[in-house]
Amino acid sequence: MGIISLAFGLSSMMQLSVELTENELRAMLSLSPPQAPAPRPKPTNVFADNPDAAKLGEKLFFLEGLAGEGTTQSCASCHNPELGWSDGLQFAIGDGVGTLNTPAVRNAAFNNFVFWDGSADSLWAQAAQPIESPIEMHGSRYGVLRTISSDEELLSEWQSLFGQMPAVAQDLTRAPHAAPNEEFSAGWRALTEENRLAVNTAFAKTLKAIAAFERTVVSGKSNFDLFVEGLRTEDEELSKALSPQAQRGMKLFVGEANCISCHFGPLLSDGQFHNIGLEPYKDIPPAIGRPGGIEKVRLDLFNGRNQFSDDTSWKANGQMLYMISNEHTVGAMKTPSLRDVAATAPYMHDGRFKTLEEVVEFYNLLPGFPGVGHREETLNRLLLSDEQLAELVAFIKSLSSL
Amino acid sequence: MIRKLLLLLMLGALASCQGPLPLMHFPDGRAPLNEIFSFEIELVDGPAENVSVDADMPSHGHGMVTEPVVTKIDATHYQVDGMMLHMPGYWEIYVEVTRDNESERFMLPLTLEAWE
Repeated sequence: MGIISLAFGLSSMMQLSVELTENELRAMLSLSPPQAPAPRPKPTNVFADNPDAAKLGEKLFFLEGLAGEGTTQSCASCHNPELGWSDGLQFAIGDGVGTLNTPAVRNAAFNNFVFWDGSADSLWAQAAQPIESPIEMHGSRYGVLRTISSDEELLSEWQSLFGQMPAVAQDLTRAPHAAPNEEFSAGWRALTEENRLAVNTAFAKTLKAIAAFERTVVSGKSNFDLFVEGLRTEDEELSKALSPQAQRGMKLFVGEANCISCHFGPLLSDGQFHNIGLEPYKDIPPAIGRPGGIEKVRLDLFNGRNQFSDDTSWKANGQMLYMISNEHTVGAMKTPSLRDVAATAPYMHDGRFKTLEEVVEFYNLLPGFPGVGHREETLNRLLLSDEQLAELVAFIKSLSSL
Repeated sequence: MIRKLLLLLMLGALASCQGPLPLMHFPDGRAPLNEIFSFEIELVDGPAENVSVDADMPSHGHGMVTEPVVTKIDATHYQVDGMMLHMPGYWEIYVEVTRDNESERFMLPLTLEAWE
């Protein structure tokens, strides 16, 4: 058993299963600060931290058929709390089958950009896309408002938060769906310009309620957090929360394996986009990643700079102003948080790895070459032993909420 | 606007020229990790025609994920917005100063740690 002096905010001498360098100790502490972080304020959504909005948003999140007549799914169909707020599937399945793994909703509120390629700049902008995607919920913005309007209790809650629901949303003589896309364009064209604006405005408010709920879906304390808390408070019992194997994995994580290069901070993610060099997968065209995301988010009607945002200033939307695409971002996908990642198998943007063991094995050997772009040069083969890989996995699993 | 300037860092430890070196004024005296930030450049040897800024992680083979914008404050002061050093590790910040159609490039090396 190694004994280390716990400087840097820790005052005692504690027994650990590993010896940590000063930098490894600092790095470990940074992953579990004394105060768990909260999602940053989101000025583009004035309802972001409104408890009533979150309450309504929770109902909408779990409401089957939210997207309108003929639809059957809810947000929770693919973001199931029992499955780590994901779906446990390789590819998302809605009204069709996609080519991307469903990201978990838990901790998504910490991201500046949402989706694997960052093609939405907020949770509320994100929520619009699956509602109208023909392979996901396959409904429409107008359909959502009709669904709410047809439920007395929902409508009452909605109106107490957002004011009068547009009359057009309650007009049952109209087609049940309307959206500015190919499938529901007839209904959309049938709306006056004024009514289209009213529908978009009401839809944006609805999305903001869903986002307010999603902001409450964050990780709780994990064994790793208890372990660190035990070190900080000199509580011997708490400091036993991390097994010796997981402690060795933690040392690898912040040290030799350098996972912390991208998985840093309390969320164990930089929230950025990287091409890690995954080989092409079967016959699926390699995803372009971040450059496509940047293009989409700039064009998104519901981005923070557009008229439905509650703060269109550049100050509130700084990353939109300065973000760039270049050869290094081709094929880059967002770094997922590792908190509660044990619950969200399978892994990677295309769900190609069924287990965390397969994931660390990939980083150990870095086989092949990516289908697009180039692998980030930060990455080098780890060449760890099987025992060390198991230690890394044990540490990652210790990040699960208790 | 940049907060009170706490630290002035002299550029040019590895500058590509011999001219007087510009000063960088970081907010809170340091460049933050993985956050958009602004800083101010002071040209101690007088006005220039143009100033541009970039940054790279040479050992990673990439630069920033943002494109900073440089705005002239007065003849010898420039505001840089949109900087983001998104990964821990060794970075080089480059400031290119153009005078009389000739450019001088200055470089500031700095290392960001994951726990900063």
